[in-house]
Amino acid sequence: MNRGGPPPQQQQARGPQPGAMGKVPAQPTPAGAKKPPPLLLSQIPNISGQVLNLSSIRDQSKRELGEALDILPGGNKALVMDPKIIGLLNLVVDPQFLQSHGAERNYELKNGRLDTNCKNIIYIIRPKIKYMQMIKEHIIQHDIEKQSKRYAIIYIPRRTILCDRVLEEEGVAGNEFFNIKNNAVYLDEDLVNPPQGSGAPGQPAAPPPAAPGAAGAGGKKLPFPLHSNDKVFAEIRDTNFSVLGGILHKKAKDIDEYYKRFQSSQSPAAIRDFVKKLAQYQQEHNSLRIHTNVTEKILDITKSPGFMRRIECEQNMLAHINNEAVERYLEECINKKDPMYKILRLLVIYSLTNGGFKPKQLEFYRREIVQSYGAEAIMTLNNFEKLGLLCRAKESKPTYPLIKQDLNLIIEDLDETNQTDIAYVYSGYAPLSVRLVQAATKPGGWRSIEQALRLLPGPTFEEVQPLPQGAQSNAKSDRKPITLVYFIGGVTFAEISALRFLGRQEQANRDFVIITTKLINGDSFVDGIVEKFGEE
Amino acid sequence: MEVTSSWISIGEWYVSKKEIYTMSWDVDLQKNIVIAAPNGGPIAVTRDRTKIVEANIQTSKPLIFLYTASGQPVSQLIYDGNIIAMDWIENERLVTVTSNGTISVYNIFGETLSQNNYYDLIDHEDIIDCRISNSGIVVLTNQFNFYHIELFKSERPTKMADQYKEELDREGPSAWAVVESVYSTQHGSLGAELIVATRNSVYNVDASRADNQLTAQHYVRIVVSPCGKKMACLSPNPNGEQYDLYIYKTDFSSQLAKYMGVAKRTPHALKWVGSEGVMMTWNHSMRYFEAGESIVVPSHDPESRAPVFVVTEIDGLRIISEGISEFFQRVPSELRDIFDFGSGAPSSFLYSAAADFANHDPKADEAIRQIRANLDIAVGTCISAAGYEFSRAEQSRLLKAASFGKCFLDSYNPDAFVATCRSLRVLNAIRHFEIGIPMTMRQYNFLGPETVIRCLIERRKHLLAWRICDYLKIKSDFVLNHWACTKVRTNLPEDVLSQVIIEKLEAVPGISYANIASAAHNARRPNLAIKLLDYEPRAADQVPPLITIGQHEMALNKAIESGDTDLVYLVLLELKRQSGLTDGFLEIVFSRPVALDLLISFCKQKGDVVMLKKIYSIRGQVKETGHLHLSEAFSTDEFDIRHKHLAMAGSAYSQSKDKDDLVYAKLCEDQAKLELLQKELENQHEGKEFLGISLSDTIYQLILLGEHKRVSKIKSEFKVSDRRFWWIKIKALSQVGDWEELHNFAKEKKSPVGYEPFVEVCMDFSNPVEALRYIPKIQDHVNRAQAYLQINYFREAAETAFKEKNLDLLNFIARKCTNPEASNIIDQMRAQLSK
Repeated sequence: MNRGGPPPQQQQARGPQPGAMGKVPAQPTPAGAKKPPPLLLSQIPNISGQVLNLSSIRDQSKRELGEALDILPGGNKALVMDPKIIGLLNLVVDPQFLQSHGAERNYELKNGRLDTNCKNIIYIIRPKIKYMQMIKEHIIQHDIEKQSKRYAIIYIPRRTILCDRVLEEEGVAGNEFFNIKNNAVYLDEDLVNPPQGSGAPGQPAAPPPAAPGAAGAGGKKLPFPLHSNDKVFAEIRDTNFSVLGGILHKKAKDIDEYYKRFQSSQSPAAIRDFVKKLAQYQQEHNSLRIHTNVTEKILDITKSPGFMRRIECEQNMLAHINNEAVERYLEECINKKDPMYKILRLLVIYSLTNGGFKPKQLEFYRREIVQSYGAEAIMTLNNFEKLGLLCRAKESKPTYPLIKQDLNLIIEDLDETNQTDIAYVYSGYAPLSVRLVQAATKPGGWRSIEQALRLLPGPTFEEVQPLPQGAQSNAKSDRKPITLVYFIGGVTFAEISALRFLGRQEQANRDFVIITTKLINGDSFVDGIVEKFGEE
Repeated sequence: MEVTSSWISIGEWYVSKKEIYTMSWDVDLQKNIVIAAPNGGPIAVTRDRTKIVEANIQTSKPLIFLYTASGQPVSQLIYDGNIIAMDWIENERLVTVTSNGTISVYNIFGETLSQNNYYDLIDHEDIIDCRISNSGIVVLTNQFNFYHIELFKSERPTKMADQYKEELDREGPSAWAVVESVYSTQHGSLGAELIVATRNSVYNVDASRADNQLTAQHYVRIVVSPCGKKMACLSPNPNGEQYDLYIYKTDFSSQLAKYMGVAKRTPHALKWVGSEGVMMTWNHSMRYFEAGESIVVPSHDPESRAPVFVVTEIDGLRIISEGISEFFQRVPSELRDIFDFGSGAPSSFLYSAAADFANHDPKADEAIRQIRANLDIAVGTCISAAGYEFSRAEQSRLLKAASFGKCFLDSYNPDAFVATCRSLRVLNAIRHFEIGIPMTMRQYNFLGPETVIRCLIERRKHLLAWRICDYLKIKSDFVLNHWACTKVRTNLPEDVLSQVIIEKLEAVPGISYANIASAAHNARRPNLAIKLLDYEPRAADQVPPLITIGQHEMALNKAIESGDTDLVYLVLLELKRQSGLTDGFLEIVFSRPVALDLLISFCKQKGDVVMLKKIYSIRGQVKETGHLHLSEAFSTDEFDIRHKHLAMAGSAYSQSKDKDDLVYAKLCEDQAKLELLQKELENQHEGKEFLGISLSDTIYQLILLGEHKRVSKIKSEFKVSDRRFWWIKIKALSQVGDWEELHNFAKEKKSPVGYEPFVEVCMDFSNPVEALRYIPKIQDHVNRAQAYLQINYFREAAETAFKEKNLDLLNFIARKCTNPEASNIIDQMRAQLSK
């Protein structure tokens, strides 16, 4: 943030004030200017001007998808989609594109009947066995009701032998079935897999405070795409929630002054200049209004005593201090039956930072959780134990304090307004993953943190990949090197913000491109491990 | 020999006829038919069945003999049926078509690559004529229908339009040809296009329409040029005694040339020479036509009565006779510039200057000075001319001339020189009579080095191919691969084979072994195949063939090593399909943790509880069995089923040797006990649902119902901690708004959770008055002050801080204070503390 122009220190020194920052100047309607245009942001993010030319890859995905859709010729197509894929699809193609390939209706794939007038049914799904069983039900239902349909499946990212076999065993892999392999990759801007929904990046492992929607007029929820096409969002998305208010306030003042300047100077030249910039300011103005509303909702949460206590607890654990207070807080949360995901997340942090629980302690939490949240939690807790996220303390000392020290994970006296370290994203805690990237890109690489690497689970290695026979490097010598960071399993928005911060540092002298299998937050991470019954 | 000695003058230019090979075969061309492949390709020879030959065992066999262009025998093949036509297509494949619709494709070794019968697909009509080309095969049936058949594709033959049919007499079309260009890269993608001549007219025919071109000529022969733009048409002239030759554009837009009364007899062959001229042959005599001029081309052996055969090349014509093979072409302008008598071209001067220089003749200097201004052109001409030459000595002279000229140029780009030398070196190697590919530079550039190398490996000239790759810096793995595939079909012992193959291939990282293994498998050498597959670097190419060979365990190991779960599933499901859930299968899986995990995950996703239980029980995984029962219990609302599974889960856990797992048994026991209680509660409180909710929630519900006695019984029975119990009760009482009961509860004894929770629930329901009853009881003075602040009791908050002499807290309160009166008091306190 704060690139170019003097930092708006005055506003920020006072700190965010919910009342003050919420005021967006009323928009005057100058003579000759039309009503502000409705806020229209393309749903598909612009990714062409970035470090890598990702748009060609997206075009490829689009083309592949088009070809896959054409496998059933003609129109009259119903698209039945994996609920988890709909959002991704929106980032690659628009509804018109789907229509131009004959799609007339869209459905979400779920258990139960599929009633459609369309003759051609195309499933766009991830290769999951349960989906195969749902599809089988559809086919059998249509067959019994003598509806003549044609079916096709588009698998993302790839067709698997497992799904083929299940279809075969279910007896529906007949002639009427087309299976298409579609290795589509979905990308956005400098990271592969795009930001969806809102969520201030700076929240310390807290759940995303606002739903993916902004409160519109009359309290109705409106969907609102968040990506770099939106100038205001591009400026605030990598900031900590604690400085969000100040920045928006400053922006509001800028726009206000712009309008005021117009009112005070009435010379023709000034008016011409005003009208020229009007559209851009109006767009920003509209966008600002929405972000201000969202920010207020975020601040309602981050200023609540409950949220404060929780951050305090998390920061105590990460700093490895005040264990007793932490334990008291954990027990209280269970006793008052706070959401179970919150408890699980806190327990995981506790276990990881303390090198596990004392035997009695683990048994205690297990009992307390089972009695409070139900016996189903037995299986969930067992899943966490299997993954080593909850464990019994070993005889050796906990390793976290050493790692914390070696990698400088905790930054005391952090100035959130004047960022000097990635730790700003978690209000003082530097994400370990990004610290590893940071170390790798420094001269000397990982050799300087060998001890910490030994303490972390799993092996570490460096591999230099030679160009295959006949291939040539097309790297241009006059550009910064590109570092590709691949998060397998998922990455949080805060980690992304931290990497972006690294990329902005002069001394890094490189561009980062992030690839990930999933965008996660604390809750979605826990959700993947929680045992579910009857629905899977 | 003089370059010009092979030149024949025609009009204002020259053609040349040069010997390229003395044929090493022994073939009687009077009794045989010769069909040669273009681009210096091989020659197929078969007996001419229209000629009466003394019958013996050799001549009566339906044989086709295959030779290289230099007459080296390669192979022979026995064919079946009545062959209507045969010809060569790209990659030196020989195609034969029989009258009953069988199309066979052979390689140069006479091995059948494919054989398909199309009789059913062309309405059981007999084939009477046929044209074979890269874009497919067009056949004419005895019903005078044309069909276009694409090779190596599964599409049905396309029937061509037939509006010309009414004009046909009993003889059918008098002539026809396929319009196509050898330069087209998309063979047949737009379907075939034909020119069909009837007695009165000519039609342009494709799959959808036949357009009459409204010419009144009656053509008996139509031949399209290699470029696809021109056609030569032979027509008997009106008095019927002689033939006229016309050259048209294939779109009939214009006539390019006509030659009247050129022949008394129909020629044996009418072939294009490149796309410039046309050659007619009658037995051993030949006549050439180009740009309105024509000449008789002398035969190399005037004594011989044996016929000659000709094959069109893109830049000329190959003439094959019993004794020799020749290349006929229009003399390229570069060679004319240099060698034509009295040529004044700079290149001619350069050529002789270079020779003079070699002889230390000072004339060289003078000549160079004379052409100084055009020296770069002269050098370029000499380089190009070298490319046209077959004679190595002449190539060398021309290149030396170019090199000599280059010395006088300051900055001459050497690329053309280097490329020509490089290409000539390759060409000279493949032109050697033992290889026998008399390819010209233009043909070589047209095909590209890769295609030429592929031809070589098809001919099993692997060493030469490999050296060319090396020389041209082309990836050679396909050569080695083909070599190895050929090698495994030989009779060498397996250990020797595997050793030579692996030794050679190991030098090339990333080379694929899978298709070599598959060749070995097809050659009934399974052990060799397995050994080779072990080296395959790509698991996706390695695992499936291992399954085919029946090496399931090895396939499974390789799949696991690859980390590709899909491959592991491929093997597992194949194994399961073949052997079912036998002990053998389970043993293979159990010994590999990854495979086991994946199998279990598969069962879980499919909900295959039976198989899971079997796996756990065999492996004695009591904890997992317990989990399985638990999940079955939690997947239903039926009390009895839940109860049964809880009991089974408990008993499974209690069998565990791990002491930790006994905790689970206890939890199950508690849960069963809780559910019994919940069932009882449901009976007592009609309409209330208890089954399945947690213990805390049960207590909470009972407090809401006022069942305090029962609650305390449950509390002790399930050992609920005091702290939790207090929280539940505080929450429940606030929920129903029973503030009096809450107050009584607070007085019951000293709260184990402090009094903050009381304040918290009051504030949750926005009840500051109630909250005030508990705030003074809060022990921690900071919390107490904060609580006062929450209800805007600034003075009380300040007093709390003041009493504890906590100035920081007091300052904090001062900032929060919105009551001016209180602010004054607070300021006094601050002043007092700051002293």
